[in-house]
Amino acid sequence: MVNSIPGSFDLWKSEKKVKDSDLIFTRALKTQFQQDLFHRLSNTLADLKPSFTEGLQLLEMVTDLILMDYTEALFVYTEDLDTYRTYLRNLRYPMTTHHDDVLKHKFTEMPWPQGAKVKFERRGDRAGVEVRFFVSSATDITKLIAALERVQIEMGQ
Amino acid sequence: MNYLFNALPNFTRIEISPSSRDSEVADRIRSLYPKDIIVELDSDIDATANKGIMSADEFNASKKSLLLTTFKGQFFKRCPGATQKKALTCCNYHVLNLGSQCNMNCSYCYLQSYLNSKQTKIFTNIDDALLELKSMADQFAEHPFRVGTGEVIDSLSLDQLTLYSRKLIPFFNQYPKWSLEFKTKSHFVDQFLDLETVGNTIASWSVNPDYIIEREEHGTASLEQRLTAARKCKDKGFQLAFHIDPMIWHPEWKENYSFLAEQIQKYFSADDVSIISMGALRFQPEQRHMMRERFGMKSLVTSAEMFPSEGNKLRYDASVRAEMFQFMLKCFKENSSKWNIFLCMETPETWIGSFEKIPIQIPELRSVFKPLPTLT
Repeated sequence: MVNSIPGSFDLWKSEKKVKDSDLIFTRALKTQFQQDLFHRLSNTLADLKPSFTEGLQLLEMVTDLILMDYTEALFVYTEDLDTYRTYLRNLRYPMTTHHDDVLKHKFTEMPWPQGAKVKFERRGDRAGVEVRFFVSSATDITKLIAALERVQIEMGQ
Repeated sequence: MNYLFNALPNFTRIEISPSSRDSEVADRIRSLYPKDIIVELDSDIDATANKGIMSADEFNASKKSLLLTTFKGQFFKRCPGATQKKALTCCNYHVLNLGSQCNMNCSYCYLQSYLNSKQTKIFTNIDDALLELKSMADQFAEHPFRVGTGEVIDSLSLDQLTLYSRKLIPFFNQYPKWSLEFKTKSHFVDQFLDLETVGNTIASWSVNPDYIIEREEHGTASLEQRLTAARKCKDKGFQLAFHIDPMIWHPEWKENYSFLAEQIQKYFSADDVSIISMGALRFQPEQRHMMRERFGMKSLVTSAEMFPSEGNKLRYDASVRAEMFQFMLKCFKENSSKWNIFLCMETPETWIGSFEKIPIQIPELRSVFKPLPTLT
């Protein structure tokens, strides 16, 4: 277990009431090099002021990436939390990131009903779109069904 | 009867509880292992039981230390998948636990998040287990209960020590509608091949391509050894089943899994194999810490891209799972439509994604998934 990390991480840990048991994933960092790298990265991450949950998720991802032999590449795109989160996810989940990008493009190009709000989302082990419509009459529903049938045909292709 | 071992399971310490002292298993252990690693205990209290999850070092050590003891609880239970009926489509499997922990070392093993004892255990009171089973079997003799002994211990990897197969097979012969499944990654079958079976004992193998066996299933038999052992069982009248589970994604997965399907079909026809189940890599979220610590991130399991799924386990993306299952189905079905294949511990959505049906709509699987009486 990595303990006594000085600097921003210590402050973040105390502010968010992070316990050592919350950092159980760091047990896998066996070498001094890996632990030093984690210390540096945890300070970098703490400077971006993540929430308790997001901070732990990103620290775990950083641990995985260190064990996958990433080193200095983990110190880029650290200008803000959103950018860094996206960057780390791309490194840790490259296949899914690519798959989601392709799916997002495919879904957003579908002939959705006019006025529909379409939002691509990953929900756990499934990726898809949340589609919101507004209807005020039976005619609206008829048009909606016709449009959705066109989407269904395109999805099947 | 004396069965020779190719390699004796590698225990560095063996403890025998007072309640197990006079058991057949204890006698056998004393005859096989050096005296200096055997300790006769004064008490039956399990001093090594942990309150919480074991550390990685404790888990590793638990594979080397064997405790012979008696089990006081219920031996016979429903498969854990049945407790998640709302999320998963389950196949009425029941389990008979005659020990716990495994002497092999698969990186994905669910025991890593399940066990809390620092020792491998063999329960020596198999006669109590058979009495318990008899009361159930007498009550429900006409129902097709499927009973497996490989839930928290491999069914056969230690069977040359216990010879439990030699008690279980004759027992199940009395209940022809019930079936007994030995589920293993070992190739130890010679110890029971001389026994008669009424055809309701299923020798089954969890199989993967050698590419996965070499990287993730440490200390297990090679694919060829498993298939050869299966052939021996088939030739002696035992039913066969294969579990292509867990399928593990890797860049060459299509090539390797297609070779696996070819190998199975080289050894067996569809008529030879009662059932093939498929499942993709899955594990409880908390297990990832133990796996990361024990196997690092170079493993195809720890480095896999896993996401929370219904039922809380981490799984591959649903579309990846569906693609893998469809691919394997095709590998078998394009040669014969008679292969009987189903999914293990999967959601109805994945069933539909892979088979376009749920199992109860598939005639050859209906009997397996038809609900059975609830046991008390």
